[in-house]
Amino acid sequence: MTEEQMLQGCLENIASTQEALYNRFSPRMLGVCYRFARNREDAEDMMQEGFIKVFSQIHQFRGQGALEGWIRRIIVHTCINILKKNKKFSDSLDLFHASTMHLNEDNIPSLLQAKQVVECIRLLPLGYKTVLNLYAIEGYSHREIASILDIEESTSRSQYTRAKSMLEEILLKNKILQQPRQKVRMVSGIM
Amino acid sequence: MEENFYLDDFELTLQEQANQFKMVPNKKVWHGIYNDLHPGRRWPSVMVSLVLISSIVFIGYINSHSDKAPTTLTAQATLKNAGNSTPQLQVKPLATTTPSAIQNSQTTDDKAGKTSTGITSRENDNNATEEFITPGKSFSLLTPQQPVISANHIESGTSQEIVNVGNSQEKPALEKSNSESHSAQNLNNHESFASSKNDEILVITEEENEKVAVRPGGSRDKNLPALLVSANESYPGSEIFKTAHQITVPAFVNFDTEMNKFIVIDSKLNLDKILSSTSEQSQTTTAALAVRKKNDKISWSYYAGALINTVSFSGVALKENTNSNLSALPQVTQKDMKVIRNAALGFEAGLQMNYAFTPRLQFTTGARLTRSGYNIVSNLVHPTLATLTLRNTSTGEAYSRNFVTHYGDGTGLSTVSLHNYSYQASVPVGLQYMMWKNDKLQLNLAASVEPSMVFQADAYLLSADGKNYVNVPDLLRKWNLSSSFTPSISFRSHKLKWSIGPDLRYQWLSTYQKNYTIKEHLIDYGIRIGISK
Repeated sequence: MTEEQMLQGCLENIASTQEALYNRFSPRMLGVCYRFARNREDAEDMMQEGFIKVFSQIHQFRGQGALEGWIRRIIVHTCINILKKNKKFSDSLDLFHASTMHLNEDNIPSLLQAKQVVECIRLLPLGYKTVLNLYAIEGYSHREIASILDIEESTSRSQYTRAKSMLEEILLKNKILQQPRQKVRMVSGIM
Repeated sequence: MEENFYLDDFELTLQEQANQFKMVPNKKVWHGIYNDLHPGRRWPSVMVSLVLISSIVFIGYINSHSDKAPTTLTAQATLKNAGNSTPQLQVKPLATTTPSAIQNSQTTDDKAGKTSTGITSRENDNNATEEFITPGKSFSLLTPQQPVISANHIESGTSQEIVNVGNSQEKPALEKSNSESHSAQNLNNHESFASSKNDEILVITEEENEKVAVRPGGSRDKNLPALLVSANESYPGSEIFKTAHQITVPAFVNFDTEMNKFIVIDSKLNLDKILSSTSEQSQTTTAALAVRKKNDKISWSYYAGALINTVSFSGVALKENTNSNLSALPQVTQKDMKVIRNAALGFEAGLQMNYAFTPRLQFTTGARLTRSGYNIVSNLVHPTLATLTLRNTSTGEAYSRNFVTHYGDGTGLSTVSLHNYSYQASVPVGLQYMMWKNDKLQLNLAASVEPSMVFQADAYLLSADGKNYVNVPDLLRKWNLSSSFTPSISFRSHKLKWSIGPDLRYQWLSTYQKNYTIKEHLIDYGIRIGISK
């Protein structure tokens, strides 16, 4: 079934095409939600709510850009809204949280690399994780992130910097990340 | 592609790695989305169950009431000499709009102490069957509301309102008359009849040689349509009448239009008039004699109950045969695969028809809807490849089916509950035996065999290595066979007959098809409550 057919069926509220669209995009969207959520159950709840919004707002999709990207944006916004209901994103709170957090990295080395990376991201404190997800993976700007999370743009930048350094540390520690390659410099002169 | 990524392209690689990550969602996520998008179609199985139960209850209600529609018999009663010493009253229906019915009740022969029906059937000269009511016998009468009417004794010269209304357990209302003394005086010994509240209440008084039945509160106005009694001394029999929604007039009475009153019929059998009312409304009086119960051997009841569902396992699981010799049956070196499970709550509902072979033994059948199942304790794991080993029923060889699952064996963290369930529609066929009975209670034992059809079900099966659960509803049987055992206590209350008792049901055939070697037998036990009229 093509995307056009799925779109048409979803516009007509046909359950079979809705299910087809869900089956096509849900595995990746669940992965998106999993990066934001505390656990799998929360991730599934986020995705469920997100897809309900997708189907109820499917008529707003204008065909500009890929359908998956449009769905992904709705899913991400849904995740953020759910997180915002449960926690405020403030730098002071996150810093306090980060300093006391114990990272459980025992199971990471045994996972597939993609999952390793995701699990490492999930180890980060909530504020760090959210900003890193939005900026580094989802491609939002710091201004947009500040608007979404109701924080200052400078807070978003600082949060991302800290998140990135923490994640690098985790990835290096688990040997998922390697040190930067040494650059060979061409020196002019006699060889 | 290098296994690890480097710090300088951190963000790009991070994005690539994160986008490669996928997870298989739980089915319930889609169910939740579906139910939200299509609320009208929510829980179709529950709606189907409710419709089925409602249909069963409605059918049972209709059948239990079909015999009790009030009927009045328009008939001409003729006293005939049927060949023996006791003249008998022949009742011949005159109208065909209502079914002719003559009460088929038990009577008591005072002398012999035996019970016999007061209705006899004979063929006349035209080979038509005619029914006779034997006068002088006691009868149990039926009204639309009450099975039997009884009444207080009426003393001569008085009017007394009759208020007692009996039931089928009481004595027949009419005493046997003395054929030698049928004077008005003796009629005092006859009990008269009263009806339920919705019918007319009759009062029998004595006046000279007449007996006139009047309405209560009215007096002895002969102009009122009323019941009446024959007082002719040679009148051999007793009155048989019942009240109905219309005026009821017994036999043996003529209405004299000149005298404008009912008069006694003499014993010379001049019963050839249809009695009519003198009321201004010109109601037509019908000789409503009795209503026959069409068939008192068949009774209907409907029941429901809550069940606790559990399960027993038998058989052995198959491992993949590592032996290259596939001609041998798969080895049964099984590890002890345990399904961590909890009992679940189910229900049953149904309609039962009882056919009495004897007063104690009844044949039972009907329709039943059952929901049963149990819960499995599992846990969430990463998407894992799991294998289910099955047996080819024709060749006997083992083969595997592979699944991707995220349900573990229940020993890990992140526990979840999986639900194996089935909705079954069955036709129980069995017997019910009355062990003991007194005036108030009755103890019954019932057992039945139930072929059943599974119209909705789901199943999670343990994989071959016992580490994961896989969802394979296509391995479920469509048809099954169960048996049930139900001891119960019955009692009457508020015009209904209640039956309460434990119910035990065992499923004989495995829930799964033969190619799955683990056999599962559902066991249900609970309380059943039944009602009937």
